[in-house]
Amino acid sequence: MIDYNFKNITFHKRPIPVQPEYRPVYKIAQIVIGLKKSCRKNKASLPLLHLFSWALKSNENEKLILDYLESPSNTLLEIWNFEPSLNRALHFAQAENLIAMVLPQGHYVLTEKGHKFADVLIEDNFVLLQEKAFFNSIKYSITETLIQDISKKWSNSNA
Amino acid sequence: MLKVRAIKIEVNTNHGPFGAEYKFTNGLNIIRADNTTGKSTLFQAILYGLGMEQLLDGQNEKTMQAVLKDTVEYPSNEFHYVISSFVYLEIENKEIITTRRSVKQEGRSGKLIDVFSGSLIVNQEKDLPVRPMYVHDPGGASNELYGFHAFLEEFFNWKLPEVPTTSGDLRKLYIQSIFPSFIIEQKSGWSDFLATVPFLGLRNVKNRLVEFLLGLDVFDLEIKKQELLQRKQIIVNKWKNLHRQTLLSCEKGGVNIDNLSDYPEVLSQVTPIRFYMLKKENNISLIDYYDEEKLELSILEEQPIKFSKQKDIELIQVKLKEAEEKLEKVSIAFDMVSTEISLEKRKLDKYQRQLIEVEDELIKNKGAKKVYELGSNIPIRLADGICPTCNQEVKDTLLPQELEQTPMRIDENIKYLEAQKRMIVAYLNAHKDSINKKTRLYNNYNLLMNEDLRPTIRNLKRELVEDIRTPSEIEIEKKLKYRARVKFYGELIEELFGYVSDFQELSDSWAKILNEIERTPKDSFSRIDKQKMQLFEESFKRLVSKFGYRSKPPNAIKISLDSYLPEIQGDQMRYNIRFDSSASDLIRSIWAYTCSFLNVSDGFPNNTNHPRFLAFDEPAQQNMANADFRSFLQELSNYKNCQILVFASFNQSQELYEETTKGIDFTLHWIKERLIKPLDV
Repeated sequence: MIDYNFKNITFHKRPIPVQPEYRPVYKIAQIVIGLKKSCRKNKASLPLLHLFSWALKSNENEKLILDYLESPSNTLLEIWNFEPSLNRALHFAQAENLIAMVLPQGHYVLTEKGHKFADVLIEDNFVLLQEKAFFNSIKYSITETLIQDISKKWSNSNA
Repeated sequence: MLKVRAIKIEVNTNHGPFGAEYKFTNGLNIIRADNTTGKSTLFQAILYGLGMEQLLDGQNEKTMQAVLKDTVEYPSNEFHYVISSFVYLEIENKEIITTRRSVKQEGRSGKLIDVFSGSLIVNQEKDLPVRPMYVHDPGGASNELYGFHAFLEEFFNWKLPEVPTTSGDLRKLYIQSIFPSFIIEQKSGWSDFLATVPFLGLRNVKNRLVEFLLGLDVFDLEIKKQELLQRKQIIVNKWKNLHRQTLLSCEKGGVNIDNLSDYPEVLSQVTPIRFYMLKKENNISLIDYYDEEKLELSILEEQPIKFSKQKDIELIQVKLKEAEEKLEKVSIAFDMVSTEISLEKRKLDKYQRQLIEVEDELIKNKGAKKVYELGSNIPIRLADGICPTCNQEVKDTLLPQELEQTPMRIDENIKYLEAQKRMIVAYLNAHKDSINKKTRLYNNYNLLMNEDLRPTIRNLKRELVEDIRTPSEIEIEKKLKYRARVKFYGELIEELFGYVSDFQELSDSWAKILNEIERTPKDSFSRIDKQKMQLFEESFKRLVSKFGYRSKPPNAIKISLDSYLPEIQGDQMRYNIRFDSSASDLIRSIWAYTCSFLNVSDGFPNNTNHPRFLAFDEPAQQNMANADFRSFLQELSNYKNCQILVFASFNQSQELYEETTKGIDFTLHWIKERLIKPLDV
C-alpha cells in the first residue's frame, strides 16, 4: 500500500442545484397565478391548491386533469400527492402577506399585495408560460365541489 | 421647384356650370376665406389634383367635399344638384403640365388622371397632347407608362429609393410619404410632426422620408450595409455547398480532410487544406498515396503476364492462406467497428436527450430569475433571500431548512446549467467526430473486403483449379484493378484540387467582404449629413423662439438624430417635444419644423430633394397669439425661390386680417362669399 503522506484532508460543501419549482418565490408565483386565474373569488382550499401543484408537475398530469374535466367517467384520476413543499410555500406566502387564511373553512385567499404580484406576473410575456396556459385552459372549472366529489370517490372505493 | 400655377374647379349642375379658378404666384400666397366658404374644399382639391388625397386619410373622391359631389348652395338657400365635377391643376417644375381628374362623373373613375403637356388654365392652350394615367392602382407607384405617381416622381426630378418594409422585403418609398413634410392640412396635420404620413407598410417611414427630403447620405450607407450583408450570405451559402460536394467526393474515395471548416474562413498558408488516406493505419497524403499506387502499377505493367504454367501451386496456396487470414482479421475489425458505431450512436442519442433536458431546465431557471426580479419589486423579501418574519437570511429552497445542504442561488444554478450544457455539447461533438471517423473506417473495411480480398480469394481459388495454359487471371485482375484505382484517384485528385482553388477564390472574396464590412463607418452620418442636421437644429431653435414658444428653455431643445424629431433634453432623458409643450407651442413647433426643412434646402442648394413648396391649411390653431402668427407669415414671406400657400380665416375679422398682414409681402386670394360660384361661360 502506497503511503501518501497526507496531513489534512478538507472537504468543501458545494451548493447543490435546485429545480425552480422548489424555490419559494417561484412556487408562490404559481400559487398566486392559480388563485387569480382559476379560483372563484380568488379563494381555494388546501386540497385544491395541492391539485394545482400536482398538475403543474408534468404534461401527463395536466393532460389527465383536462381529460377528466371533459369526461369524468372515462378518466382514471389517481390520487394526487400532497407535497410538504407546497405547505411550506403557503407559510412563506402568508408571512409575506400575499395570501391570507379565511376562517372557519381554512381556505386561502389572495390579498391586495398578492393581486399585485399576480398581475405583474400575468402581464410579463416571458415567465410562467406553461402555468398560465394550464390555468387558461381549465378556467374556473375545478371547483371545491369537484374536489369533494373526487375525495368521496376515493373513500367509497376504499370502503 | 414645385409651383402650383393655377387651379380650376368645374361643377356641372342642373342649373348650369359652377366653379372657381385661382392663379397663384411665386413666393407667399395667402388664401383668405371665412370658415364654411369652401377654404378647405380648395385646399383639398389641390391635393386631389396632385393625386395626394391620401394625406386626407382616404382615397379618391371619398375625400372630397359634398359641394363637389352632391349639392351646390348659391346663393344662400338656393340649391343645385351636381351632375359632374372636375378638378384641373396646373403645376410647373422644369415643364408645365395640367392634370384633370373627375370628382363625380358617370362612367369615369376617380382613379383616372389626365395629364396635359401644357398650360390649360393660365395660358388656355388648345390641342395639348394628353396622357391618361392611374392613381391608387396596384403598381401605380412603379408602372412607368400609366402610374401617375411614377410620373409625378419623374416630374419632381426625384429618384425615390427602395426601403425596407415591415415584412422584410424592399419597396420603393411611396411619394405620398414625402408630401406631409411640406403640406400641412387642417384636420390631422396639426396634431403631430409629419402626422398625415399614410401607413403603407414601410418600416420607419418617417425616418426614411426625412433622410430623402434632406438628401442625407446615411440612407445610402444603410442600403450599402444591407448589400454587403447579402453578399456575405451568398459566400456562406456557396462555401457550404462546395464543402458538401467536397465531402461527398472524398467519401467515395475514402479520403479524409484536414483544415477545412463548413463555414467560410480565410484559408491559412500555414495550415492549408489537406487530403490524406489511412493506409495500413498510417496517415499519408493523398498525393503520396496516388504516387505509390502509380509506382505499383508501373511495376506491374512492366512485368510480363505470367502464364499459369509458370505458376507455383505452393505459392498460390500460400497467397490464398494469407488472403483468407487477412479477410478474417478485417472481418473481425469490421464487426467491431460496426458495434462501436452503434454504441456511439446510442450514446449520442442519450447526450442529445440530455441536452434537451438541460436546455429546458435553463429556460425554466431563467424564467425563475425573472419571477424573482418581479417579486423583488412588489416587494417580496423572500425574493431577496430574506425571511419575512425574522429578517434573517433564508435558504432559497422549499426543502426542509434544517437540511445541511445549501441550495445554489438562481444565478449560480443558471451558470451551473450553462456549464453542463457546454460539457454536453463538447461530448456531442466529440462523439459525432468519433462516429464520422469510425464510419469512414467501416466503409474502408467494407471496400477492402468486397472489392479486394474476396475477389482475390475467389481468383486464387480458381487459379488452383484452372487450365495451366490460360494466363493468370489474378495477375490480370490485379493490373486492371490498379489501373482503375490509379485512374479513379487521378481524377479524384483533379476534382479535389479544383475544389481547393474554388475554396481559395471564396476565401479571397470572404477576406474582401469582411474588410469592406470593417471599413463601412459605424456612425452612419457623413460629414455633410452632420452639417445639415446642425443647420436643421439651429434653424428649428431659432424659429421656434421667434414664433413665441415658451414651454421649455431654448437650450434644452435638440433634434434627435435617431428619429429626426424635436426633443427636450431633460435631467435624465430626452423626450419628444410634444409631451411637454402646450397645445399652441406644439403648433409653433410644427411651423418651425416645416420651415427648417426649407432652410436646410437653402443652406445646401441642389443637395436636398425639397420641392421648395409649402402649403398650410389654417396654421393659426389653438387660439394662437396674433403677434406670433404674424411672425410666422413674415418669415414665410422672406423665403426666396419658392412658393408658399397659406389658407387662413383670420377669425372672420377684417381688423385682424389687416393687423396680421400689415407690411408683409404676399399675394392675396380672397374667397368672398363662397368658393363655388356660377362660372361665366
